[in-house]
Amino acid sequence: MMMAVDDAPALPWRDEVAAARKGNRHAFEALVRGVQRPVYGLCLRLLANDAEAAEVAQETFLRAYQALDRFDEARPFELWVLAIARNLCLDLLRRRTRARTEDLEPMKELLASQAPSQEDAAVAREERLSLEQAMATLGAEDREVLALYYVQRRTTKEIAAVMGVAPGTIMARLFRAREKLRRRMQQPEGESR
Amino acid sequence: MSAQRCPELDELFDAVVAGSGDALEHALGCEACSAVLEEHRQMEKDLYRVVDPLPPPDFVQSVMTRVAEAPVPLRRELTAGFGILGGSAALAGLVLARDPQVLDRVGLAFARVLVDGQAFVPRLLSALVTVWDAAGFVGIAACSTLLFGSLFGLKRLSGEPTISEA
Ligand SMILES: [Zn+2]
Repeated sequence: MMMAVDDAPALPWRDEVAAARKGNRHAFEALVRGVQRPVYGLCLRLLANDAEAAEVAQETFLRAYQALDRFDEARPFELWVLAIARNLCLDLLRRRTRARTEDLEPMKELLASQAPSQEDAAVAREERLSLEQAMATLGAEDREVLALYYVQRRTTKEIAAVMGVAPGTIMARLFRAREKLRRRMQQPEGESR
Repeated sequence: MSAQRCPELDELFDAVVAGSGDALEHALGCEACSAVLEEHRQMEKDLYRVVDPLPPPDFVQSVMTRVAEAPVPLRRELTAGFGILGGSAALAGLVLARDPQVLDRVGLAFARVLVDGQAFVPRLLSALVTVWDAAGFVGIAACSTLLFGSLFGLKRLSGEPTISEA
């Protein structure tokens, strides 16, 4: 997967990556701290299970540490780690679908784990819950593209780099995901498409 | 109200992204299509309000524990190994270059190894011939048994799973 970085002058991760490559654990820890939230967030969004998300996110950083020599510093560190995380998540989902088909049960865990929001309006909260509930019923790719674009506010180019697809396809993917979401939210549970 | 049939949603959306097109013109005059686009806009607003949850409080610590337990990446070990090798070679070279007497002695030792080595091969061969004449098959069998027995014992002691177990 290739990606060009236009705003290249500042590569804030470069020094820490260089230090971590030499075996400096504090430098690696700083890198982990810097990107733990989006990485864990994506894992949770994809897996919809706290324990599995934490486990896969940890595994992600371990893999990143061991593959650090292969990391291309011209690429944003965060996107590289996110790409590792999404691949591990998709692997797990594939294994999971082999075991069971669909389950909405982990949703409770997902909802319980939400960080409290600054807005206090109860109405807004209700609305968001149903939105996230509907989101959790979408397929992995739809959830992923929505999470990266709206929740993590990434550009289509960044999302393309994480997902390993052409940037030009992202807006269409977003639209399709949003359209599915819209239909899910219109319908009572169960029905789809 | 528009006279034409409503476009496919994909088509409509492409027109929205492009900012023009028949589908968009249709939508401007069609209640149903405008409503769909408005719902998408509303949903986008809601989606932007969703935030990533925080990882568990001990997350970074757990990661670093696993990192500490993980084997050092091979490439890094090789780099370190070659670094040490190169460093010692350079140091040895420096010492030799500074002291001609040491250089003399090293040269002498090296020459002696060569000379002794040349004499070593025929002597080893004649020894082997003698052993073969004296003990022959019995000797080989005894040596093999000892060798394989020891290897098997070592493997057991090291606790590594054998291939069939793994
Ligand atoms: Zn229409």
